[in-house]
Amino acid sequence: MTYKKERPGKAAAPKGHFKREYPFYLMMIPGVVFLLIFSYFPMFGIVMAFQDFSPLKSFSGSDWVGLRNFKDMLMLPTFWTVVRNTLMISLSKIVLRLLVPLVIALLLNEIMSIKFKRISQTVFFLPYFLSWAVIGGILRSLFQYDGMVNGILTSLGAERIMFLGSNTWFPVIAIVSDVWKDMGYNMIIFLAAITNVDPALHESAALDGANRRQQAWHITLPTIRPIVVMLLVLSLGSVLSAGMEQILLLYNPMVYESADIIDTLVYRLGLVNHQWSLSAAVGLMKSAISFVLVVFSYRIATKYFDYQVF
Amino acid sequence: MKKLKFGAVVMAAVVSTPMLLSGCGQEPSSPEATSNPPEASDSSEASTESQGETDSEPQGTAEDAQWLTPFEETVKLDVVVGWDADAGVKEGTTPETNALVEAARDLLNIDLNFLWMVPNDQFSEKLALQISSGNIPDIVMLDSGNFYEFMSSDYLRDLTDAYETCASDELKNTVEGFGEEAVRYSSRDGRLYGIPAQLDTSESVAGLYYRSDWLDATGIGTPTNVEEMNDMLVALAGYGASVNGGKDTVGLGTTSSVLNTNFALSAYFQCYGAYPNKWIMRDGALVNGIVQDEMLDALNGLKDLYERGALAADFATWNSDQFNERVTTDQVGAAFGTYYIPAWPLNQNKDANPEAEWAELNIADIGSKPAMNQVSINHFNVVTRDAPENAEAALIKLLNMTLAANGNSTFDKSVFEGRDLPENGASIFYLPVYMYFPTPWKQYRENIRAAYEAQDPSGLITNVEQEWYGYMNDYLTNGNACENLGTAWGMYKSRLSEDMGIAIGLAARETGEYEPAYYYGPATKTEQRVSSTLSDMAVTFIVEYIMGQKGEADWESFKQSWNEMGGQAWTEEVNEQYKSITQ
Repeated sequence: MTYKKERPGKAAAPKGHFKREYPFYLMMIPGVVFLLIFSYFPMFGIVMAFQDFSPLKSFSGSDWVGLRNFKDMLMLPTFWTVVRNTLMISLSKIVLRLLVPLVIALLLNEIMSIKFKRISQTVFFLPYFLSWAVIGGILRSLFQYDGMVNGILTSLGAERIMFLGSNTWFPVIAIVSDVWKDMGYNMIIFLAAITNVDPALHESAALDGANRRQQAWHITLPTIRPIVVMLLVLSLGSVLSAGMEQILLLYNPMVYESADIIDTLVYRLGLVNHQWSLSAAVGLMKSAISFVLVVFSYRIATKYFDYQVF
Repeated sequence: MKKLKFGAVVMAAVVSTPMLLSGCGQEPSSPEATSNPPEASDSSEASTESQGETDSEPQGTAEDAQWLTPFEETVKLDVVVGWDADAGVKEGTTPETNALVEAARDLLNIDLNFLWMVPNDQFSEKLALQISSGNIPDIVMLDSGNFYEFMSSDYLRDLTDAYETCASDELKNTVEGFGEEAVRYSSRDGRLYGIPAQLDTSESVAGLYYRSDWLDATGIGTPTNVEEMNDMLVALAGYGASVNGGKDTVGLGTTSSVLNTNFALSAYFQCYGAYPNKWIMRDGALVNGIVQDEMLDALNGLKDLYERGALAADFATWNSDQFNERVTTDQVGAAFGTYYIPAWPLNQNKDANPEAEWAELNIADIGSKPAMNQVSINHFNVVTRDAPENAEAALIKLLNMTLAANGNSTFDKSVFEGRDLPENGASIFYLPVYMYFPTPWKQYRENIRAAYEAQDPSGLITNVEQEWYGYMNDYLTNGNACENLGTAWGMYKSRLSEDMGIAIGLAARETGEYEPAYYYGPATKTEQRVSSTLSDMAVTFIVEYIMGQKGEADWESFKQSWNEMGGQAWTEEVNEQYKSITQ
């Protein structure tokens, strides 16, 4: 990845650059081969979405059905609910996964005690290494009807809340727990970026009378903006991935209306009910929209934030 | 071998038979001569009676078992297996090190190559992935959906000749002992493509297990109708909370999978004559019980229970772990389930609280009919298209072996030289194929009771009878003071009690007081496309109705949606296929 204002044109490439740079191309080969085998070659399976696919008949023996699977997908009674849930949960996660770690990174950067700072970083980063199976069990214990949180509420004289069976509370728990679990990762990236901010800028600002908040707002944030934009662009590609593992572990029929997402639908259709083609159609639709979103967000990032990967 | 090759020439018209002969060591014969099904196969009652009478007889000795002849050349089979470590089996044993795998190699010259081994609850998904990759095991257990898909795709090998030639009497008894349906459902154009592993259909009958010590304390009598049953459930919730320290207590425990039979509500609907997700006969045609109007009465009953606090406020968030935890800790007054429920998980409650007493309410005793499956096939054992030569005969021999090694079998096990014993690292549950041994319930119960009366178990032939006798004797002699209370109580109540467990299913079969659940066949085209959607829709509707978010005004629109979403087409296809299979 580079960050530059001018795109290198073909004419700008000096003659013989390939000869000079061939070691880099060689180094790319394993990655490219990996990508071809595990990302591009399986794309052939997309044809499944246009067939009445049976693994026993393979691709060549399965009947072609045109767009019937996509029509069936749109006819699913829960389809639009699932799309809405996915967008709502996913967008909330994307925004909070940037904001919360950013705020924490800025605050940690202000801490003078190195020891406390390091302990805090570790504590914030630890949940990232826990699996959803473990966190799912903890969340159930905390939020079930006779769980710890309701125990506290009743001891304070409040009514119990059916957190995991409520279409209002379930998405909140899903979003907050996801942000809590993964915030450490982005926080480390932001902290690294903040460390690279030239101290002279802060010193100059301080001499001009800027307080810590003003320095953060006018110096730190603009300086690390490319990193924030990069993380945003990367995460927009997964806007239709709202966290299958987490939802699958926590949801139940009472909250299908607010918690069923595209990935859980694909899982049920494909692996549980063996409706391979319909499942592939939903998956393809998801990939196509994600692709458009990545291109769109990249264009926006290039135009307004001067950010380029290619 | 020369003799066998000569036999093959004589039987030249049957192309595949010579290959089978080389492994089975006996001449092929007609189905009439080799198979020995019970005579009255039209009636499931009669067939079970017949089993009961024949199964306790010795099935044969190692000398008689010609299927034990090893293949001349090793048959190597790629297999997959779902398994859970059994505490009773020698520690460290895995499917690969299973002593029976070694026995198969030594006695039959069959070499099993395990492609993968996963816990049972992951088997279905792992197999689905395996199938989608196109790398299909040589022999495998398939559920109904996969079996019919494989059969339609010509992906299964014809087992007819291997079955007729190599199957032991025990295997034939097991396959054909429940009547003709199972063989019919496993065949196409008169050829057998799968060996059906069946359960005794009386084992599918559910009843209501309730805390009889709590009911006695309330002074309420045993219910005689549905209204009294509902009142009992409300009373159990109230009384339970008063004696368990005020913990959340429910009258009727259920998981979120409300349409299941165990720890769920399927049997509650049966109390109202409603049979959701079962194909029942009405006016000469099969209909799905989920859209019959009897459902509405049952839904209103459940809504009433919910409002009166007999159902958990958050019942739809419960999974089986949470249900078990609450049963164990005296927080559940009653739950629906089939015969084995006392052996698990009610036994855990008995262990935690020896004073807890449970009884079972037979649905028939409140004027309703429990559902009983017409045929109950758990899975099909099959050989896939690209399996090696002699795989058909190898499958049949392996199945013979699993039955011979079963604790219920009277087969002379000396041939195994101890490699059938759990303490030596043997488990029939660790093998890639499996047949349920049809438990001769009536015979076992009579034998064991007689032995208990005489305090003389020496006449009990099978390991299973002796084991059950031990539990019965332990519990009835020592009561709550017996050493392994939960296990002894659970095994006795589920299998040998007069008025609980399997006794309820057997009584339903004897009296004919049950609603037959018909149709066990290939998933229809529409079913493949919409069944999961319809099931989700039904579960959501039921949950919302019980919790008061839906009302009677929504019932008609639910039925209409169900039919329009594919339910109507599914019903028509099921009727067509049922006719084609049964005609």
